[in-house]
Amino acid sequence: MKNNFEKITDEAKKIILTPEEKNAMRLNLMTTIEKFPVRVGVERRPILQEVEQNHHTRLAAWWKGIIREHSSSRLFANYNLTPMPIMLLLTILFSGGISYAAEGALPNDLLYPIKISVNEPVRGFATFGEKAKADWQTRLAQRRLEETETLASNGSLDEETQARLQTNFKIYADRVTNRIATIEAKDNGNAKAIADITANFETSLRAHEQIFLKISEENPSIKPHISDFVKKIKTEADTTAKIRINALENISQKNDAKFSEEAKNERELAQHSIDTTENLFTSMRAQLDLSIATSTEIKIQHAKKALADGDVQMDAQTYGSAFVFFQQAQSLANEAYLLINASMRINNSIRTSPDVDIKINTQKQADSPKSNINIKEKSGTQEKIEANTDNRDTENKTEIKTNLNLNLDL
Amino acid sequence: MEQQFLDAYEKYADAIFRHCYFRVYNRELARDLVQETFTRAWNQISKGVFIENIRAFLYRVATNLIIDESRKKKAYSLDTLLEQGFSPAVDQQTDIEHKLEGQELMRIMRRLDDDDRQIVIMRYIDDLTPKEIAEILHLSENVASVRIHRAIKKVRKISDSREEYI
Repeated sequence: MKNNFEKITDEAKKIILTPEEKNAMRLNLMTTIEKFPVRVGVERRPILQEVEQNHHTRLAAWWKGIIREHSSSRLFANYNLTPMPIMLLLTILFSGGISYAAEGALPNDLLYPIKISVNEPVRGFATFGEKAKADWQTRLAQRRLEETETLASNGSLDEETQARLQTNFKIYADRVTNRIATIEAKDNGNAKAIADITANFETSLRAHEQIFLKISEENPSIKPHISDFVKKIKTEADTTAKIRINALENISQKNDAKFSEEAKNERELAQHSIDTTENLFTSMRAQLDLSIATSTEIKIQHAKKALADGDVQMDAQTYGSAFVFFQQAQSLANEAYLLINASMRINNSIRTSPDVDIKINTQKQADSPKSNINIKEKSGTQEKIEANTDNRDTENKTEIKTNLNLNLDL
Repeated sequence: MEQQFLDAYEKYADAIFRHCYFRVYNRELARDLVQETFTRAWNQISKGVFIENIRAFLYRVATNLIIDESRKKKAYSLDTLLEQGFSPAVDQQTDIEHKLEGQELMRIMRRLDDDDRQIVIMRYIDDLTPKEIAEILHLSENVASVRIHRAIKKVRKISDSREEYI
């Protein structure tokens, strides 16, 4: 009987996809992955955790042991590892276990050198395409900001670390700007790619500027240490905004049918960002401060309004303007997302000031938070984009309640 | 993470396909369900949804899709399909012995109810652990183990009855 049963199960195992079916499906899947990349800030979730976790923990413990034994070694005295140690490290870290464990490391941690000298350059090296590289550089600049925020909230941000993080941030921010310049020169001034990169970068900078300001409001002793940094972030954000506005001005003129596809794509991405943020919001709502929850909800509402405005423009076949609205919807949703993320990272300690004047104005698209672009209809058909690089909505006035009990598992 | 997900696709696509196939008995539909399963799973991952066990998650998504599909259309009846000339789509089934085994497989499958069939496939064909099956079916591990035991007893009974008949 047993043999008979085994024969039957063997037979069932033959019911599989043909190689052609499997390849076709894989291609479709890769298109989906490209279209909906993992959101910034969630790039390493515990997918396949069951396979990796134990393995990585063991390796990490082993590695930490080695580091401790050699803590006096000059190898890790600074983070400027030479190419040879990096190659050796890459060989040693064959399974990626250590580098996985190093992903959440902070500047004062043992594994931090691995994070910035091995993990990040390797990922950058494996990223192809100007836009993807720019997005990765954006993420790196963002990581330095997140690290500074965590240390600042923690009370463990010393002068030296702060200076180093600030320098590193500037390096990555410059790389993003250079990458944009390359795209402008190489890719026939690809306005859409530039608009995407700058929107992503600016959204991140604005959110972090806001978080820094509130950290220093809550903890005045930290203010002198980070005020210069905050100024730098604001300058970067304003510079990025100008580039973005130029790109959007260019895009808003594009109303040909060919651009309708771009606008449709942008709509899909905006919808995805809104859905993502709403999902995160729903799952985290109970842990969020009431005012931060309200603030996030308003941003989501504005994002939906921008989406609806974009739909109106699509119906009017003004695809360029529709694109601008859709991108705005995306940025609003992303900013709300970053706010929730930051709140989670600093252990649910971001709070909106009780005296903040929260205004909901669904009539005026231009007044929505993070709305640097206003589209005004003039003479019925003509449209003009107005730039306002320093217009920040008051409802963004959040404050961060610093908390010593930080979640370091970033 | 993209690579990890594609690795998961390579590893589990066939099993998910089988899981769908033995519920809908339609190769094309089963293929579409597999595609949809992985697309939805990626959408969740890209949105930052926490997934503890990707394999169990994929089975759960596929099971929900099958349920949706059977609600959309009339429930699939294997008997009806067999009457319509359906035969198991076992690839490279060349010799007569394999054909007989294929028929025996379908004979057993058609005599099992949906729940038992699902459990037999997951446990003995896809090699899922009772714990994983419990997670997919939202059962406790004990209840899953009992159901596996009962389902396999039924398979043995059906199989034995054929041997006696022969």
